[in-house]
Order: sequence, then C-alpha cells, then structure tokens
Amino acid sequence: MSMPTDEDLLLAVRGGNVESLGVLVSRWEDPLYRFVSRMVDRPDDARDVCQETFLRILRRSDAFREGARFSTWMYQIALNLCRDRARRRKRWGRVVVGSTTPLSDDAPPRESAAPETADTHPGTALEAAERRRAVQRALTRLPNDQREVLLLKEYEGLKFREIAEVLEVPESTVKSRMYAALDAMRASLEPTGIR
Amino acid sequence: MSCETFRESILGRLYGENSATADDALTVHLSSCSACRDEIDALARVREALRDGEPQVARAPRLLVLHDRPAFRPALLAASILGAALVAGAAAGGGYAWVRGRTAPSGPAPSAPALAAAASPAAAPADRVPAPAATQEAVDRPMTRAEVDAAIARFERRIDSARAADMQYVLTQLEASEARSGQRIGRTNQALRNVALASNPGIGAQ
Repeated sequence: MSMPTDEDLLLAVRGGNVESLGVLVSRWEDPLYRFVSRMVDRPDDARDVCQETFLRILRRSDAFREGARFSTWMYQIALNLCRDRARRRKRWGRVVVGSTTPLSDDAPPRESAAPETADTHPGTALEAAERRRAVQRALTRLPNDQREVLLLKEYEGLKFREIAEVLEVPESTVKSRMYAALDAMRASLEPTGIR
Repeated sequence: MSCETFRESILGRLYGENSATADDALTVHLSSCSACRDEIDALARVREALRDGEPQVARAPRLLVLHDRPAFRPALLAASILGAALVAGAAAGGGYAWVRGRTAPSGPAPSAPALAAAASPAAAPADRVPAPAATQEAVDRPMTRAEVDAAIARFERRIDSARAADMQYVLTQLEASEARSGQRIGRTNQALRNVALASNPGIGAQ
C-alpha cells in the first residue's frame, strides 16, 4: 500500500481523522521548525508559531483548496504567523537568523556528532563555524521580503512558483527578490573572504 | 537584448527551473556575454557559501495533537441526571418526612436503605433481596436528617471521584508531553491548548 500524500492526509483530517494530523506533524515538524526559527528571533516564538500553525491546519482544514499543495499552504500559514508576531513585537528588523550561541546539549553540532573526519579537525571546525557566523550575519541583514524568499528557496527547496503561492505575489516578483537577495549576500560575504 | 532581461533565466539555470526555450536563449546570450557568465559563476559561489554555512537550528521540539475528550459524553450525562434526580428525591423526601414528623409522626417517608441504595448503586442489588423482618422495620421508618446528609455526602464523593479521574487524565497527557519533549508545558504560551509539545503522535490516540 502506497504512502498517503500530504494532501490525502489533510483530507482525512478534514473528515475528522485527527490521527492523520499526527502523521502530517511528524513529516513536517522539522522543516517547518527550521524555517520558522530562522524567521523569528526567539526559540520560544518558533515553537509557538509551529504549534499554532498545526492548530490552524486542524481548525481550518476546510479552507484548503483542492489541488493545492499542503506544504505551500502550511508555509503560508506559518509565514503569516511569523509576520503577525514580528508586527506585534515591532522587532522585525532585529531578527537574528539561526543561533548565535552554541547549541544546547540536546542538539549537538553536526560536526561533533559525526565520526572523526577531516571536518572534525579543530582548524576545519573553526573555519566551518566562522562560515556559519558570516552567513548568519549576512542573512540577518537582508530585508525581510528577500530573506523570506531566500530561506524558502535555498534551505526549504521550494520552487519559484510555490514561493509565489506562499507569498501571494507574482513569480517574477519572487525571482526579483531572490536575485536581490543573492546579490546582497554576495556583497556581505565577499569582504569576509567566504565565497 | 540587454543582460537585465536574462536575470530570471540566470536564476532559472542556477536552480534548474528554466524551460527549454528560456535555457536555449540564455545559452545563446552567454556565448557572447562574459559579464553574464561571470554573474552566473558568482551567484553559484554564493549558493555554495549558503550551503556550506547554513545556520544551525536546534532540534525541533516534538509536536503532538492531543485528542479532545468528546464534549458530549452520554454516560456521564445520564449519570448526572440520575444523580441530580436522586439528590432531589432525597431532599424532597427528607423535607416531607420532616414536615410529617412535626404534624403526623406515623406518615410515610423515604427509607434510609432505599436512599442509600440510590446513592450507592453497587450496593443496590443486595437491597433488592426481600428484606428480612428485622430490616422491614428500618424500611418503613422515616429517614433522619443525618441519614439524608450522609446520602448526599456519598453522592458528592462519587462526583469528586469522577472529577479526580478527569484531572488524572489531563495530568497524564501533560506529563507524557513534557517527558517526550523535554520542555515544561507551563513555559509555553499555549500551555493548555489542544496541541501540546511531545514526541509521539500515537500517544494522543486514546
């Protein structure tokens, strides 16, 4: 028996099968949390936004358009929640992408979890950490509309057409923002020697 | 055509989303435009840097949809109605007995065993056995105020017990959520909502 698609599961949720929402949650909680935590400035906010996103999916499953993609709809809900939260806090301009401090014990850096390789060499690890910090700073400096597009494209792997649906703007606008974002990242990263 | 018009195609090539027509046109343009070739190379390097330096994110907390207990529970509703009827009956009977006790001491009144049986269904079957002569007298005697109070107290204890069971259910769910997520539920803003932090979606299937 083939795996039900996300859309199948959502239709089941609409029909009252809450178990299906559990499956959707298990499929999407990691990508959603990753995206949201780069859009808001506090881990607590990221948790709350993810939670609220799934709650809205549960409550508003009737609003899902037949033929649409579940992931697009989910990101749209999450992004709107991020924007609402930022608007309330009026701290949109101070979003820090990613963590500026070492990860907690329950989430060791990838390098430390991996077996001994060239990446675990202290010099290499330092370089990797420096690269991450530089990218993090550059992302934080991006205007919000460009950062949204870049995160959805580069780290979540959405197609330009899907991002246009999430943001409810023309695809040409998405590409224009993406181009500007890459250009800005280039300008930020070049002085650091990271290419 | 100016280089500006090829921006979308350059992005399309970087991410593999160009149509065949757009990609062919870009290829033709690139064959004669070193600036755009350099542009593609530079943007590809930015992409590489973004991949290599992807900001880390702590592990996602687990999310769990806890099932609502059904708002309408016929058995509980029936038990509540029955209980309310018993209390009302006991109170009315007690009041009647009290009034008759002041005016006509030998009048009919609700019996203590009957009321006890109503308040304690588990004991009821035994009370349906024909009463021996010794208890027949008790059946006929009016219920005292103390007996009415005792019956009401027993009924209240049953209600409290049901409430405690409900609370235990909620606590169990919250504790399970906390154990699996490593997060104190009370630290989130959504503490007592239907969706709680936890790790196993199956835990809600009750």
